[in-house]
Amino acid sequence: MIFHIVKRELYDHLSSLRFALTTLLILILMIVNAVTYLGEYKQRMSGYQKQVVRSRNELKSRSATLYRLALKGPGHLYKKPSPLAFCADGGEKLLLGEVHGNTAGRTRRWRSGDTSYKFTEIWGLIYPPNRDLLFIAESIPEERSIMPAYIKIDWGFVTAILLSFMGILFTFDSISGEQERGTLRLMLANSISRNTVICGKFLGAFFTIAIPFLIGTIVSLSIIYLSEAVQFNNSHWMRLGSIVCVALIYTSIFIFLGLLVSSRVKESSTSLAILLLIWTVWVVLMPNALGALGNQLQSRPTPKEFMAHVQDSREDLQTRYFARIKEPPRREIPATIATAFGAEYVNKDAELRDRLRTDYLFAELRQIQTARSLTRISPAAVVQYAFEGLAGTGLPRHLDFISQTRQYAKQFRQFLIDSDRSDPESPHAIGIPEGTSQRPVNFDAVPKFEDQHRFSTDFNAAIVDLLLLILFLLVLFIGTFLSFLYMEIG
Amino acid sequence: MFLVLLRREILAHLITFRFAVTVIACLLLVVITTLIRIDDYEKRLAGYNTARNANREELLSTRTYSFLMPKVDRPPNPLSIFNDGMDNRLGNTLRIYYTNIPVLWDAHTHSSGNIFLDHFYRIDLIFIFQFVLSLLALLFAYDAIAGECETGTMRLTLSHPVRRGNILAAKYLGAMACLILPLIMSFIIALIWIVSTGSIVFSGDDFLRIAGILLTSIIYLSAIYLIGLFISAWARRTSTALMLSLFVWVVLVLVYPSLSVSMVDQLTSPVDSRIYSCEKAIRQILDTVTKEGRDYLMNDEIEGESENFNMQGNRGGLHVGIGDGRIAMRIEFKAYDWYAIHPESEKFIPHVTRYHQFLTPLRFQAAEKIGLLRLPALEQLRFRRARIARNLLRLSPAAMYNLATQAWAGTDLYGVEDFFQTARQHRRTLVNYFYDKDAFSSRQWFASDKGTIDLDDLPRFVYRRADLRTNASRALPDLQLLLLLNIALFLATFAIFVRQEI
Repeated sequence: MIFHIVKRELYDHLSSLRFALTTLLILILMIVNAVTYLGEYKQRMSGYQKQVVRSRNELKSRSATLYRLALKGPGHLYKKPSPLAFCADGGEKLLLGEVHGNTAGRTRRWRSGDTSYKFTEIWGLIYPPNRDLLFIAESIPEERSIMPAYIKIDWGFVTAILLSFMGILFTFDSISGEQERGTLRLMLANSISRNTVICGKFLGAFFTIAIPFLIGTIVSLSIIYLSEAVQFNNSHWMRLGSIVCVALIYTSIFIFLGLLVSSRVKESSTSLAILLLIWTVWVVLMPNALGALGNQLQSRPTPKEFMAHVQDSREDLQTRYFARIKEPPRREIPATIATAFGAEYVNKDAELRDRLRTDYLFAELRQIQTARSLTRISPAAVVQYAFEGLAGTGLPRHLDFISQTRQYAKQFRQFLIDSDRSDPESPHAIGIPEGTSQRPVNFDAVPKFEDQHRFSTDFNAAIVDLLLLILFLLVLFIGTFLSFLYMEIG
Repeated sequence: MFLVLLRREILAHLITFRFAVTVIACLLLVVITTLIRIDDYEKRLAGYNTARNANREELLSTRTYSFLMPKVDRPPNPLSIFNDGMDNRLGNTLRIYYTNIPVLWDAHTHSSGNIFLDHFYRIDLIFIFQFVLSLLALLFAYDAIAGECETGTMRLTLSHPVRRGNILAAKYLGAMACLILPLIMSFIIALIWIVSTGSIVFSGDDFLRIAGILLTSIIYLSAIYLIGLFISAWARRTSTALMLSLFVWVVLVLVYPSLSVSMVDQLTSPVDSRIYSCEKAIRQILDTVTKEGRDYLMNDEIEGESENFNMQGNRGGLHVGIGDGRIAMRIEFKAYDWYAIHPESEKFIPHVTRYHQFLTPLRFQAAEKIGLLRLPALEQLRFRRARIARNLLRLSPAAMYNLATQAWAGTDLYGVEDFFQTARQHRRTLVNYFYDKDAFSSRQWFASDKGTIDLDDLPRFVYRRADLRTNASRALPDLQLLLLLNIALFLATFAIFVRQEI
């Protein structure tokens, strides 16, 4: 019986005007998305490759001696663009896909007796925009900022806005309309259980929406695939499959919402008004309005304060260190001790900078995490985040990139220590020219950074959002069933 | 008869459930948004005040004329609560060098914004009206004609001696009355909230600007309503009318604005070949000035080809480079401050003075010349795509509404550009001040050892937002477009409705 209901619903929907209109719109958007993406991806990928070559050369020019490596660091580290950015753009342009392993090269001079020592600060990771360097703390607006603000048209947009809209468009009158016309009574007079009716209605609407969406995705994918600009591997197909699943789960939420309201309200027009309002507030306004609140809830030092804090902490460290060695005053200390002392100081200083910068970065990131948690009240935001996670773009990917650079920095430091240890003549005081091994460095042995897209990490980032979506779905599913079960049909 | 019809329309709308729900939702959203925006404004204002005080202090501690490089700030616009526009996105702090004609791209932002939070669209009051009230307008309109035809009441009404034009007018006015009601309520609530905070003081002109925003909102809602009415008259069936108008709404309000701008952003190239010739011309002017300075040093009677003429003493100095990248080039800014000069070097002073007296006016002139080249080139480079995007956007009434209200609020591109216009004027005044004081032929141009400069009569930077008339004239094109759309839609609806068989 349920099969008949689904069939009837499908016939009804497929021949309707709303189906034709929405299918057309989805197709247009998907094609535009694919075409614009192709141009952008080529540009991004070639840019990335150029950057990688440049940073490799930078590293090579630095690996003349071990000291130079220890002083200057590994140079620029770049984030690899995701080939699935057409699914969710994730504001990649705003996130600045680079981390610098560099030094400002400030030098601290110090005299002991007749000898003068020069300690140059060594490298650390800098996360742009570099808030602790005065001249970059104030950012110059870029060309893009005079463009009118817009939301990127990607699969996320099509799903979050259009599929949800279709969800309510195909269901707002599915129960109240039949009740108005009296066909619902007729149907229930036959031996059809209410469960079957609601399941049939759901499946009918579900397939009606899934069909144009799947057509759209196939068209978009084939444009991208046939252009041969992008190579997909198994993991990409898995991601794409998950993305489509998430989109369908999200659509189901709104189908159930439509059925729920439709079964509670007597008139179709009222049902539509309520649904449209819920949709506007929940899908369009909430994800953005609550994001602004996140800024208010979590405070964070301003860049100026941060700059001052870094300055103070470093000066504090310096005074402490130099006070230690100055007592008793004017004592001549042996060169080896001075070297060891200098190495300890520059390394401590690098550690301090690293800690402060990371703290600040994480304070900034916490702010956006709060904002994102708040916006998760809206399934539109949740689906967007799930898409970002699965497509390997946006904030989760950025966090993974940063943690990869940090891991690499550790590896790089370990390499310095190891190659210094292997030289028995070295005094093992890395960070000072005299204290570091003088042997030539084998460039092939120097660890190189390559940004990896890791499916497991990305999937873990998306799992919370996925579960949240399922939770939304379950709540609305149960609500709809109960509501329809206890509905009086007059 | 007309009044009876009008009354019926108004009452029919007022008692509907959709009206109540929408109005309550709209008012709630307005309250929340106003709260968020006021808080945001206050934070920005505090940031502006600290920056301004710091800059003033820095300026007053200047010791030589050549070191005069006042930093000026753009205050946040209180009307950004209504429409944020560009107010928060573009540079708001700018250093004025006498060697550079400032443009928008020389400015920085002193806001402490978290770049990661830029992902979220900023919600303002106009955003809410644009979405929520336009939806209500469509819900009023979709069954206005089609619905009455289906239920048969239209036939009944027409059996009375009443003209079809009157029916249409009554429908339009009735719905508009019911749409304006929540709109005005929202404005009043927002205004009460804003005024009661005390930190935001609106001038009389500001209230008129808000009235302009209100007027634009009414015209926008009317346009959306007429779109719905047109569809309702044309489609004849309620369900078709509803689907079509919702579809049109989604496309016009949500999809099209993003679609058009993202197409322009991704498909047009930002670089124009004409830019290179301009860069070359600027480079030439730069080289000429550098050469003049070097030649002067080579040919004078003093040994040594440096600007300090081998003087002994203590000095401070500043050198701001010419920059690189697209048309960021300007004359090098050099500031000198000899705060102690060795008595033996005193004999060089006349030479140094003559050198500056010779070179500085040349640098002024070169800066003017470069400014003349740089300004239109940057305009071409940066604004062209934004202008294309804006013009394409104008196919959507929602975008017209957004642009017109931005113009009223003064948060549009021109409103922000006004600040830079003022900054350019201020640079001019500064240069005139130098001429008046004979600054660059004085010792205090480069040395402060015989007393620092007196800054009592230094012209102060005063920035006022454009006057009401300017705002109105900037809003006018979009307003006219919206009005035109209204008239066209009304006439089309009328034409269809008059010929319709019922």
